[in-house]
Amino acid sequence: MIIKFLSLQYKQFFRSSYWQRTLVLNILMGFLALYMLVVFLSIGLSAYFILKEKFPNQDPLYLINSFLIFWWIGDLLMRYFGQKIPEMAFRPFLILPLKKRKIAQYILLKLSLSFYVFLPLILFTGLAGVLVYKSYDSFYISIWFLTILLLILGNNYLNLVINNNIKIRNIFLVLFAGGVLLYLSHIVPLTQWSAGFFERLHNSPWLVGVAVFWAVFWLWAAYHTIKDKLYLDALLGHTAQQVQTYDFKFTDRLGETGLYYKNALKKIWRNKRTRAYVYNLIFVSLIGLFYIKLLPGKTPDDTLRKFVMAAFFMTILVSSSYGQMIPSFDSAYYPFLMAQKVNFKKYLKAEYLIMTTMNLIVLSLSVFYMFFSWKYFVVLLAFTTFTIGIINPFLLWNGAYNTKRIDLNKKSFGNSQGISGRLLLISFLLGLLPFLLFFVLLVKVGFLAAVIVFTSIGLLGILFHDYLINKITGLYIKKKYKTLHGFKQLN
Amino acid sequence: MLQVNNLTKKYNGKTVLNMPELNIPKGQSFGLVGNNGAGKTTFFNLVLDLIRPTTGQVLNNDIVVNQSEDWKKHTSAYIDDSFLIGYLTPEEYFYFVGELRGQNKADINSFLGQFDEFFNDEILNQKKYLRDLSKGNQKKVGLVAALIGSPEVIILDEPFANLDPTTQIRLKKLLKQLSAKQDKTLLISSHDLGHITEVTNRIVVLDKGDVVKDIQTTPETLKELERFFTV
Repeated sequence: MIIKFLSLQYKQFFRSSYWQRTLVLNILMGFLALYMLVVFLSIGLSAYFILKEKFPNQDPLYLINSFLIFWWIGDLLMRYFGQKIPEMAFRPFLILPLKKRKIAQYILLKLSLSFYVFLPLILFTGLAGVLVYKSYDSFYISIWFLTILLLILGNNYLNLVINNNIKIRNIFLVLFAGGVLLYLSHIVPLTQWSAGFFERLHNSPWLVGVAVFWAVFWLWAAYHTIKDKLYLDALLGHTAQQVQTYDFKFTDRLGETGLYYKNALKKIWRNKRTRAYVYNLIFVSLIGLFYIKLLPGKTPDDTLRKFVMAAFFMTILVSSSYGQMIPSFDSAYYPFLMAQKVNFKKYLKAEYLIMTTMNLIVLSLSVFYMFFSWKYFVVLLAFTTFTIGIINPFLLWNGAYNTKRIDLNKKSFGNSQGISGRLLLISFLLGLLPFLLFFVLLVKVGFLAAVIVFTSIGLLGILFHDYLINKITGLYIKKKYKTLHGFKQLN
Repeated sequence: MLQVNNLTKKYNGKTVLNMPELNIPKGQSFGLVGNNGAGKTTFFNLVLDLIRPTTGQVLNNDIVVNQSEDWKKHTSAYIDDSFLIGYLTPEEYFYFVGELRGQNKADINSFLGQFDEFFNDEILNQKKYLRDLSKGNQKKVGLVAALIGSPEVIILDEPFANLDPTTQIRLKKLLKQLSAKQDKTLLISSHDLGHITEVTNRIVVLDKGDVVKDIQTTPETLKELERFFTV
C-alpha cells in the first residue's frame, strides 16, 4: 500500500505544472540543492577546526555541546516557520476500504524522510567523522550522534503537533522565550545544562533513552494528530466562528490602489498561513539583537560586519518571504480578478506597498538599535532603502513568472504548498548579491562608502519606481494566460 | 453585442471548440447546452479572455476581447467559485466588486435590498467568510455579484447547479426579469433543459466543440432538445 501511495505522490510531484519549464532552470535548481548539501557538509567538517583555532584553551566538543540546546530550539523554530508538512490529497481515500492507520503511517513516513531531516544529518555526520578522526571515543561519539538524530526526528514530529495544536505550541513558545530570557539575564545556565547532558553520555550511555523517549513520544502524538485530522470536518473547518470585521478606512485615501491594499491586508490577517508574516515582523526585528549579544566580534567593527548579515535578514528576507508569493496568494480567485476592470498597475502597486509596509514596520521596531550604536541603525536604514527601491520591484517582476497555486482557503496540516524552486533560486541570488556588495564595500572601502552606495542605489530605484512598475505591469498582462493556467492546477 | 469570428480552441491538436460564426444581438438571452466536454465553459472563458483562442476572435460590443480591456466595463460573469474571494464576508465582497464597477457602499446597500428574498436570510449579516458558506450560498453570492453595476452583458455558467429548488425557482424569476429588459444580453449555460428553455429566447447546442443546433425558443423547444439528447 505504501508503495502505491508513493507512486501517487511521485505522479503528483512530476505532473504538476511546476516542472513544465525550462530545463536550464531545473538543472540550476539541482545545483542549488547540491550546493546546500556541500555547504552543510563543509560546516560539519570544519566546525571542529574553527572552534579549536578560536578557542585554543577549550575542548571544541564541549563548546558544541553547550550550544546544542540553542541549535535544537533554532531547529524547531526553523521547522515551524519553514518546513512544509507533507500532505496528500487524502479526501478521495477516506471512503475507500483503507485503514486510516495506513494513511497516517504514510504521512509520517514521508515526514521522516524530509529534506529538513537530511540537512542537519549531513552536518552532524561530517562533524562526527572529524571527531572520531581526532580520536574521541568512537563509542561515545556514536551514542552522541544517535542522540542528536533522535532529537532531530523528535522535532520533526513535534512540529506537526504544534502546527495543529495551539495550546502545545504556546507552551513551547513560553518555555523557549522564558528559557532564553533567563539565560540572557544569567539566571539559568542553559549552556551548562546542555553541555552537562551531552557530556554525561560518556559515563551513562543509557541517557540516550531520554532522546528515544522524546522521539517516540512525539511520533505517537503526531500519529494521533494525523488520525484525528482524517475527517472532513477537521479538514474543512466546519466550526466557522463568528468573525469580526475591521474596515481599514485609512486606505480609502489611496484610491483604487487603496482598494487592493485593503484587500491584501485582509488577506494577510484572515488566513493562518499569511498571518505568520505579521508575527514574523516582531521576531525578525530581534535578529540583530541576537547577532550583537550572542555572536559579538572581537572589536565593535567586527560586530558591525556581522550585523550586516542581520540587516539582510531584517530587510531583504522579510520582503522576499512575502514577495515570492505574489501573485500566488491571489491564485484562487485570479480568474475573477482578470474578468474585472482591475487596473493591474494599481494592483501591483498595492502589493508593493504591502512589502514596503513590512519593511517600514521592521525599521521602526528597530529604532532601539541606536542604543547600541547609531551605526547599526544606519546600516538598517541603508538596507531598507535598498530593499524598497530595488528588491521590492524585483520581487514583483519575479511574480510575473509565478504560476504556483496556493490555496488560502484550505485548512489542512499547517502550511503545505507554495514555495517553488525557482523562487528559492531567485531568493538565493537576491540575497547573495546585495549582501556581498555591502560587505565588500564595508571591509574594503569603509562604512560611509557602503552606506552611501547602498542608499543611492535604493533611491535610484525609488526615483524610477513608476517606470519599473509600468514595465512590470506589461509583463504581467503578457503572462496572464500562463498564470491563469498554472493557478488552475490543484497541486 | 457579441460576435464570434472563426473561433477555434485546440489543446495539443485536439479541437475542443470550433465556432466559425456566431452573433448574439443586444438584448438577447442566449442559452448554451451540451454534454460534458462540449465546450461550454471553454467558450465562456474565451469570451472573458481567460484563455487564448487558437484562431479567430471574440468581439464584445465591437471590441476584440484580447486586444483591449474596455469590454470589462459593461461585462460581468460568474463561472465558478474561483470568482469568489474566500477570506471576505459576503458584504465585503459585494463592496469590493462594487468599487471595481464604480458603485459606492450606499449604492450597493440599496442594490442588495432587492435580493432579500433570493438570499433567504442566509447571506447578509451572517458574520461568516465566504469560504465558510455552503456551496449553494456561495453561488448565490457569486450570481448576485455578477449583477452589480448594471452590466450589459452577463455571463453565467451553470447558474442552477448546486441551488436548492426554491432558489432555482427564484433565480428563474430573476433571470426572466433581466431578459425582459431590452438592454441586457444574457449568456447562460445549463444542463437543465427545462430551466434553460424557460429563461432564454435562443438556444445553441454544442457537441464536442461544434454548434449542432441553433434555435429560437418556442413551446416545442424542450421536446426537441429532449429528443436530441436521448440517445
